[in-house]
Amino acid sequence: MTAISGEQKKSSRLKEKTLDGYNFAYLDDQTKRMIRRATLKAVAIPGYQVPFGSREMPLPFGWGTGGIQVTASIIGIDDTLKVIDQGADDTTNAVNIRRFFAKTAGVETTENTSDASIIQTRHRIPEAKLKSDQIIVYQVPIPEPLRWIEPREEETRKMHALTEYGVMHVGLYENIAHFGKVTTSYNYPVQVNDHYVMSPSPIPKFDNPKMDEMPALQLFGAGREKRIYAVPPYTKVKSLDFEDHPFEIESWSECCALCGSSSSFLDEVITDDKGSRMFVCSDSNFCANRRAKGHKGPGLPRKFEIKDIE
Amino acid sequence: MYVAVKGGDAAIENSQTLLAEERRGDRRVPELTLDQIKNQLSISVDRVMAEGSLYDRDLAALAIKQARGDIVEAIFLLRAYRTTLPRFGNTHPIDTAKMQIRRRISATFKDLPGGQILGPSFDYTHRLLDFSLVENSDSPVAEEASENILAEMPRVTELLDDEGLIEKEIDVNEQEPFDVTRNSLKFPASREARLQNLARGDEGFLLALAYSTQRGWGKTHPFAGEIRMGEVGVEIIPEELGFPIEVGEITVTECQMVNQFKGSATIPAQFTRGYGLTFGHNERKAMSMGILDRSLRSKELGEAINAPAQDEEFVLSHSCNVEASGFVQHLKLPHYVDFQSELVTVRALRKATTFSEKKEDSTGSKNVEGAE
Amino acid sequence: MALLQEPTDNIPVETGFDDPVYESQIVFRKILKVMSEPGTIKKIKNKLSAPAPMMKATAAVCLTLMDFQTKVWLDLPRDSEVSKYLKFHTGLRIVEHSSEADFVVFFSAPDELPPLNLGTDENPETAATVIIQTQSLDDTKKLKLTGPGIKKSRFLNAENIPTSLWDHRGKANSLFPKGIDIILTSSEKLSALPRTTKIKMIKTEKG
Repeated sequence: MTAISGEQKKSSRLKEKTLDGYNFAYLDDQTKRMIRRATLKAVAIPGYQVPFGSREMPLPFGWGTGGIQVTASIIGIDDTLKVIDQGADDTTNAVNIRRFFAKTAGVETTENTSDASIIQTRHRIPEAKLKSDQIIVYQVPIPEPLRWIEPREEETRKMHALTEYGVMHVGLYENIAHFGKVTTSYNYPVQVNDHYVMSPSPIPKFDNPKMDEMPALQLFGAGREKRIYAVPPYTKVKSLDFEDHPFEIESWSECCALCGSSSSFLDEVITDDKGSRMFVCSDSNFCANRRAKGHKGPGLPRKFEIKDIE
Repeated sequence: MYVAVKGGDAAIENSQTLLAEERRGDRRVPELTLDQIKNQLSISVDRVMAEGSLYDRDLAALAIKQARGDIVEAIFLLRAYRTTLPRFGNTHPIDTAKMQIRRRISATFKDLPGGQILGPSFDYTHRLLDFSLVENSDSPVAEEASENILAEMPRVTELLDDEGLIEKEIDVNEQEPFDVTRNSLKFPASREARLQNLARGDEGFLLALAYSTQRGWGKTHPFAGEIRMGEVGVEIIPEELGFPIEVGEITVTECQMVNQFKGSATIPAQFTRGYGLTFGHNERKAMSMGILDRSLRSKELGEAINAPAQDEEFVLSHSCNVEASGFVQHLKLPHYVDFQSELVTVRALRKATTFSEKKEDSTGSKNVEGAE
Repeated sequence: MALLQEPTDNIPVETGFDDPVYESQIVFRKILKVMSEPGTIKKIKNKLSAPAPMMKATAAVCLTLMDFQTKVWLDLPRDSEVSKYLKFHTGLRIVEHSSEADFVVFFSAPDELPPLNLGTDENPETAATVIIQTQSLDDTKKLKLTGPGIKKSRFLNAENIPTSLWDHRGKANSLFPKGIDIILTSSEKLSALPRTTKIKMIKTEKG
């Protein structure tokens, strides 16, 4: 029982800033140590899913508990946190998670990508290039990229152990045979450091190339599935493809209606019931920064047309 | 003109105020007290404690009140609280033979040492709405029995054990048991991991799967060897004392299922066990658990596996309602980035196919882009 | 309560973290940094006093990562001051055989590593983390590192580590995903070499 003796000392520096009755950043230190050990192993074995003793969090499973546990275990009072969902800082889920850390850790939060030391995300990688010393934490619903091919953990674990990824390629190739192209549009599997096939989480494949040789550390947390995995900075991340069917990303014939960007991921917004729609940046901070610099988009809906993405 | 959704903070706060108002309901009606919930909704309290994996009637009652009677939500509240509690040590295994019995029945023997004790049960009630409960009723007070119940009531499985008819209970290993609340489940799972998982598993899920085995989806031929409910002492052995001290008393329901087993190349025909245990009074759950514990032993006993209830990974990975409820409902969260990706793909695919169809069908009657 | 029962001679005079929640987070981020960018060197600034021969960085790493859930093997006797200190501050479980340990700590670098848990192909994360104290740690061009976490290459020099140990490590890591993850410490400095880092010895002028 002496184990807790060190922890019995109250963390005075943090006490005033955080939620009464709870530890800094909610998790107890024992849990944080367990997650920290798992995180180090994840970093040491890029792309491998490390099982961990995921805890029940005060937010529902499936709503970012894995990312929250990872963030809670790494965050300190000097960190600046950014939380996005669908690329935006102002969606209710992002707001809610940011509130959680403001309440339990008292850390500074920001919407500005370049000001953040930790970015927790669901479904997007920011458009602004991430830097060394930044950490991006992905919320992951299903960490196993082979799950749709083989639902059994006992089997997929063996497949990873033997780097037996033939079925994955067969699956993608059948897709090509049937549709003429790979129809997977998000959660597009990648291979990390020429070894593990990894789920990038449900980011659009548009974001996949950003993962390759990224200067920032990428951590992935799946709370319900109890897995943590990682990609260290400057690590090769390759989207699976074939010589005759190279990997390609989405593109739009439109540009952002607000900031005029033609290189960002666009969300489609339906503006009336007569088929009018407009496209705006999914990354709300990227869009706002561009507008602040004087960039302007067409602003009005155009007739919808889709660009051939051959 | 398009306006990005802003003010998430205010919206969340307003939603939560509304929720609190709905929870309280009509203010002319007196507010529920935790004592009322603990005493009069005791079966709900029991279920929340069992699946919340925390034996605390007050907290369970509070969770039920806060969750507006939504039992799965209450279980979630209790779990999220439980996970923040420090751990002082492991208790000694409880001894249900020393249970202060309130109910004990066996379906396998007409009479047995200790007797059949019906206790409080819905079993033989006629399910007729009792309109006398509409107004506060004067419930009858049960009379106390004149006969004493055996202090140590032998378990039916022990009676069979004497004759060697039932498999031996495997000795508890000396190692610290696997803890599903602290570790990620591994497959194949140990029996202790399986029992822990089932004990906190969703009652409805366990019930449906147990039922499926009775309808031929992995039949295990169960008999309710014994069901007992009552109070047992909980002991811990403090490191500095070295001997057990009782730290409290809990109500549990235990079910020992006895199942036919024709034997295998190495094992003669005998009965096999399926074990169920829950906090509080919950026979439906304890029995379902007993059936599933046994059906999940199919692989170990060399039986053909052809039904969901025999598939360990299927059952144990989907039994937790906190996980299931969260993941099903996470579909309420925005997915418009993924959906946008899909839109781009589907439109491209449609464009490709309509072009090729056009070549074949020169009438061009097909609607090219529905969206246009 | 348990604390009061503890015989007084088991309470080490050397102090652990002054503010464990706060300080262990800072140390962890440094470990995370060096593990994800192998060969980088970070400094521990905490006020820690560890019993000899334990250096400050070694103590900080142990106090940050170990607890009653971790099995640890030390190249020191069980009743050493260091063992007592770690047991008191972390509650760790000291094991007899290096092959059972989650963490293996060398206060002086061995020629060859003893039997270690390298993990399995299916569960490579169960492999031991090896902490080695060295006499000095700097970026002199002795070891050329490449691999994940390193843009092109990075140089590292860990004084007093025999070449045979690097050879031994290389052999173990050829079994990837099984392998050994190393944390190097020297007074208040730390660095790391996860199993994915390739090491090339640079021939010095002296030969």
